[in-house]
Amino acid sequence: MPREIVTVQLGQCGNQMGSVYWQRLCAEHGINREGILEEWATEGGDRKDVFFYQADDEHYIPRAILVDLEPRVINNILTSPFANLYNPENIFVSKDGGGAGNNWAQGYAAGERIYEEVMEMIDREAEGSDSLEGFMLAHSIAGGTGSGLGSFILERLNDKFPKKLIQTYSVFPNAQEGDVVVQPYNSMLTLKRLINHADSVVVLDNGALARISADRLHVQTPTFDQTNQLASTVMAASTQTLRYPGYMNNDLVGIIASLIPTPRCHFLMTSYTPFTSDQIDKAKPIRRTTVLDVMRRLLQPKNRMVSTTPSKTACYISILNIIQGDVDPTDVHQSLLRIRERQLANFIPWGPASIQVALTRKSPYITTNHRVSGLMLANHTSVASVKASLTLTPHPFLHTDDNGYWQLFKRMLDQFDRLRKRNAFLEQYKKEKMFANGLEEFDDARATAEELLKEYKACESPDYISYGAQEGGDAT
Amino acid sequence: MLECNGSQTIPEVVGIENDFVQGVSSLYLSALSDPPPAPKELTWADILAEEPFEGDHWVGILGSGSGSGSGGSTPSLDDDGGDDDDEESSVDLDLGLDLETSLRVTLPPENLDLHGTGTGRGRSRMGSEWERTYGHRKDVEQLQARQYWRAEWKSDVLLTRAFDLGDASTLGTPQYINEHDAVREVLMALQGRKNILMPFPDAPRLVHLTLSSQASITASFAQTATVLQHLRKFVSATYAKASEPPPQPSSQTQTQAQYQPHLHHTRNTRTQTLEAFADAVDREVRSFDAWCARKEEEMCRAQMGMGSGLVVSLLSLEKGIRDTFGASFSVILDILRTVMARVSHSSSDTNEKEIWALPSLPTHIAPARLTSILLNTLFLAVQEYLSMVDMTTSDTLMRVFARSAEPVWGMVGRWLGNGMPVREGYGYGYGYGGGVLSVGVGGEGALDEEFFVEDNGVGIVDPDFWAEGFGLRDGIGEGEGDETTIPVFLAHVARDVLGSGKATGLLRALGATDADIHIHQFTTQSFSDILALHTAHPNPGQNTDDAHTVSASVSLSTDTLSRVVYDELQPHCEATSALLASVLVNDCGLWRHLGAIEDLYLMRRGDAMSHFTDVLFAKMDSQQPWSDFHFLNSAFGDVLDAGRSKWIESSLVRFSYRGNKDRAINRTVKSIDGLLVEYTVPFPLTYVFGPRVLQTYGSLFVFLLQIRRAKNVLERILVRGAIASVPHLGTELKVFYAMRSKLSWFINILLNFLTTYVSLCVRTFISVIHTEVLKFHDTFREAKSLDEMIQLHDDQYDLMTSALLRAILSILDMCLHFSDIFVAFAGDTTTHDISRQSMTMKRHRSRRQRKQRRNIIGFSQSLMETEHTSDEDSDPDDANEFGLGNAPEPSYSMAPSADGDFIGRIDKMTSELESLVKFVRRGTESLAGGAGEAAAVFGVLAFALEDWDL
Repeated sequence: MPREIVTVQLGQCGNQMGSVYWQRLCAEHGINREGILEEWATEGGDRKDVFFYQADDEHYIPRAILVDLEPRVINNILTSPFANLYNPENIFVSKDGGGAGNNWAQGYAAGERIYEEVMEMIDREAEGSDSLEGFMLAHSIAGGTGSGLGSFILERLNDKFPKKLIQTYSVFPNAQEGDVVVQPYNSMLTLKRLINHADSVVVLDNGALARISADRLHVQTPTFDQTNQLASTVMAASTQTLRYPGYMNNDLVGIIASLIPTPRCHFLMTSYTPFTSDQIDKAKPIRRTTVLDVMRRLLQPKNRMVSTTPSKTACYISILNIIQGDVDPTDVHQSLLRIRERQLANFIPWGPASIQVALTRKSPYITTNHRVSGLMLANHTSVASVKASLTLTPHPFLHTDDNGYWQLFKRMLDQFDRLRKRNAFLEQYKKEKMFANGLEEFDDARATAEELLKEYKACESPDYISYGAQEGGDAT
Repeated sequence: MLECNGSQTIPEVVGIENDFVQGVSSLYLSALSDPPPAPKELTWADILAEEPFEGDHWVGILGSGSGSGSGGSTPSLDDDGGDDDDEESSVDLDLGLDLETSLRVTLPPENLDLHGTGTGRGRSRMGSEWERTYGHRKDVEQLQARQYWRAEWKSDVLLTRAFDLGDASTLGTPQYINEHDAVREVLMALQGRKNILMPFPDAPRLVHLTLSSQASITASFAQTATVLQHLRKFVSATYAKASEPPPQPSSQTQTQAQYQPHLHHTRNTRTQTLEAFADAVDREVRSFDAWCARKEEEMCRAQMGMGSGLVVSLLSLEKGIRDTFGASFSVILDILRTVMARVSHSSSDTNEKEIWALPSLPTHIAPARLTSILLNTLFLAVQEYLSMVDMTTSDTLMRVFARSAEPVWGMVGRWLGNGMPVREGYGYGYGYGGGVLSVGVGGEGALDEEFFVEDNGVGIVDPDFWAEGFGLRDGIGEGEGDETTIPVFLAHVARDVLGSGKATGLLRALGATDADIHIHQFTTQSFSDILALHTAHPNPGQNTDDAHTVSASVSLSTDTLSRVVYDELQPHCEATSALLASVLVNDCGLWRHLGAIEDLYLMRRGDAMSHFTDVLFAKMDSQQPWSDFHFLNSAFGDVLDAGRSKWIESSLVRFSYRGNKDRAINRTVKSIDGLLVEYTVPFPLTYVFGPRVLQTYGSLFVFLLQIRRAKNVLERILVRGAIASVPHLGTELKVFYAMRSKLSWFINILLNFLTTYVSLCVRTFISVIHTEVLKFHDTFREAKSLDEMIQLHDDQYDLMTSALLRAILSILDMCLHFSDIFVAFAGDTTTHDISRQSMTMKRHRSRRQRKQRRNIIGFSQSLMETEHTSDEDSDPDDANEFGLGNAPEPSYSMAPSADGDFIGRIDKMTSELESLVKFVRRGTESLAGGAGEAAAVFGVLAFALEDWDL
């Protein structure tokens, strides 16, 4: 039972991210552009069938479904050297090719139209799996296709496969440099689906990615490629234990179960170190990578892929460090001792929690010039935590380091409120059936997000469990 | 040295006199009974003047018939010591050289005659035929004139004084002899032959010595002679005991030099080392005899005027002996007595027994022990005299030691060359040497009892064969248990030798030939050769066997000898070890199997083992019998087939279930206890991975599987926002989720600890073994470190089993209950399922299901009760231990609403979990506080568990 995972890439961002991700996976497993296993790739020990299946002619084919409402990105993929990697039957491009116009409602509505076709692909992939573990969605929540169509697919997947996991890699918009005016609307509407229909959401904050690019790579305006490389690195590292199974954490459900204790708090923050030129173009060299170094860097806010603010109350709900490389477990123990001594990580007060460490192998086919690398998957309350005094003045510098004033969701909420208060840019939404009769959906989405914020906040208090119960008692 | 010698002997003089009378008296009885005749008139000048054959006094001598009565007192040289014929005659001939040719020619017939007729021993010399010839008679007379032991012989000194009352020396008529004659007598005495001087009071006197000074001088010689006689007797007793047929003394000395295996087959009750020791002593005694004979020869030559003149005196002889031989013989005697005393347990009866009883002494000391006692005592003496710079003595002792060690050395050589004798089957019942496996061992029998390696009678098929089949003998039967059977000079190589021999034996059993093994040349070299090579100035041209030709000292200090032995043996030991290591690694696939074992038992092979557990757990979930033998094995086989890489041979793995089948897997993970996983390690590797090791691995596997089962059940519960959005449920579920997160946390900590650190621990041990296997300094140690590893595990399990393991299992069981309750409460839509059927399942249907189940549960008393009791079963002891109120509460089943029930259950579980985890924490912390390797490992767990409260 390989516990297969089907990847669904949605929209421009999702497909770009996905294509880099698949390139990376191919490199790690010794699969060439045509999907054929390289002759030298015999060292094995890896489990390719989680993400690939083999065609009759031994070609490895990604369990990936590429969906977009406009053909540009997918056409790029199909003209790239990796064009033959994908199963052409799994590629869906909207026939009218008009895209979703950066409009969530449009994307969502498109979903209703293309549902049968896309679902047929998903079904086929699911049927082709012996023991389907779940789905991975790659999308952004700001635009139209990734957010709108993504939300639709999310709902349907959840309904159709209630016993399967759904994990999303969601790119959250850079609040300051958004290129879509209605991105607060789109984000909020998508966030509701992410809260209600996904089992875990790996948050990739575009702002943080840009910050890391600037900081780590010294690129003030990172290219899409570089950002995508960052994102795909995180995606690859987070699935490392599935693809190179060891003693533990070799199934997605186990990883998610250990990270996510309560239903709604399933937004995972990531850190990765070191970013070197192996993975990212023009990265700074890292001199030393010991386990302690890596684990400490992972905890540093500047390495987080979510821009958050250090707050006295913010704490970790859970942490899973995926450490790659040849590591002595006693080093890990020593590092944990040091980290606890210095109280580098605060945990929730209402339950046991600690840094879990999954040691995993590196791909033998990729040579890196650093010994150890690490990915942190963390469930942290600051994803949504709110600071008391809110200032709305965006300042470009404040977001290039960890001095950001707002936490992610709060920023989104605030921006949403700004627009919503004035009912700005709502015409395009009202055109769609969903909003034709009213904008309750907006408010509902906002309420859901607000509730999530409260829940995250509540997580910081010791009586989190009873807090819920009280509220429940009030409701009845 | 002289002082020392003197100090030893003076107190013993009287005793020696007694000893002398007791021990050697038989030789001199006749001399005692027959007082020496008065010396006849013959001038001293006559004898010295080379004119002994002329003169009228010969007539008178012939005429006197008194010789017939003194037959006993005139022991012919030929007559004595029938067992030493060869040497005696050679001495005789030496003497004869001085005589005239005619006499020399006539002597052999005389001898023949002597043996033929045997009448009148003393007078038989004058056979009837020869007496008639005057010329011969004259010769005989001339000779007889020099026979100072005859009554007719006259000293040169005028002694015919009449008794003078004023001169005490004229009292009686003591016989006086010349000193050079006395010296010859002494030399004879020293060679253990009859002489007239030794029974002192009646012995002829020396004119220039007072009675007491002569007594003193004689006593000193008598002591030496007695010592030598003791040794001779010991030697002959040993020979007599040892030989069937008795070995030829002359050839024995030759063959013993080069240790011959044929001696090995002689059926003897005593040890070969003792025989070799006797032989070595014999050689030394003979060399002493030869020295004496040479002295006599020199004297005779000097008498004959051949060569330069010679001054002889008793005192110079004594000095000569002391210079040439030192205290060697008395020391050897002491050694023998020491050994005697140690060998014979009861001090009562052995004190009387003399050393020649040693070969036939009844004792329950193992031969090997005896050997080591003998060699160690000997070597200790060498060191003692070496430290006193008594090189003469220490060299002699060293030679004796070298020869005595020869048998053991030979055994070592054969042990290393042939390796351990490998026998088929499981024990002694099987004939050795007949099987296929005994290739190359040939006709060599079982190990000598004397060897310090012993065969414990374990068959080669037995996995314990390697560790236990052969071992160093214990010094059992000895009161003081501190000593072993290993001679001290081999002590530090003994383990290497043992390991190497075992390695060689195993290699031979695996079909290696001599050429493969590269038998080092030492197996054909004698111990003496090796020592000779290493002594200060080895002279290659010389026959080093002849101890007298070695100019430099042959004594070696303990360190030097140890080094020599080590240098000699170590290359071979290393070579065989390395060869075995390479055979194990290359031909037998040690790493491959080790990897497979780890992959299987420790579930390192993540993909396949996860696959297998998935299949297994799916079976458990579906309430089908999962413990079926065929299911388990075919499932595993299928998993292997599905995988692309061949990491393990499925035919070697066998699952079986011997547990109690009425323990349902749904209720307790303990039902997994009965699962057995066997990995059949191919033949030679069974020694490395013995049954105990695999058993340990097996229990680890079961434990891991239990944890994984609990984890699996727990993780099945999906945390879904959709459920929580149902308002009423959401808040209640929070309690569930908190509980789940606690359980999940604990299980993750535990599993992580076990897989990462304990596995690491195991692997560290194994890698220690690996490096050992690679280096192969000592394959025995390998088994030891395995033992340590097993010990560690045993400790761990003992400690864990007692309370911790039970507590942990209770927590694991709690996971199962929790999962049940959760599913009952929230419906099974919220569970994760990777099976194919799950894909078609629709949400709305399961929602309905959930409600149905809720209703059922709400009114089902029976299910509640079973759950309750099963919980009781799993952890009653723990509950009692920390005073948990786990007693059945009557109000429990009477809870008003179903929901309240669930919450109550969860609350109860939470508090239970709290105390269980605390208990585990305390236990782990106390374990971590202990000493040893395991403590550090538990420290990791203790550290991790601290987060429970942080």
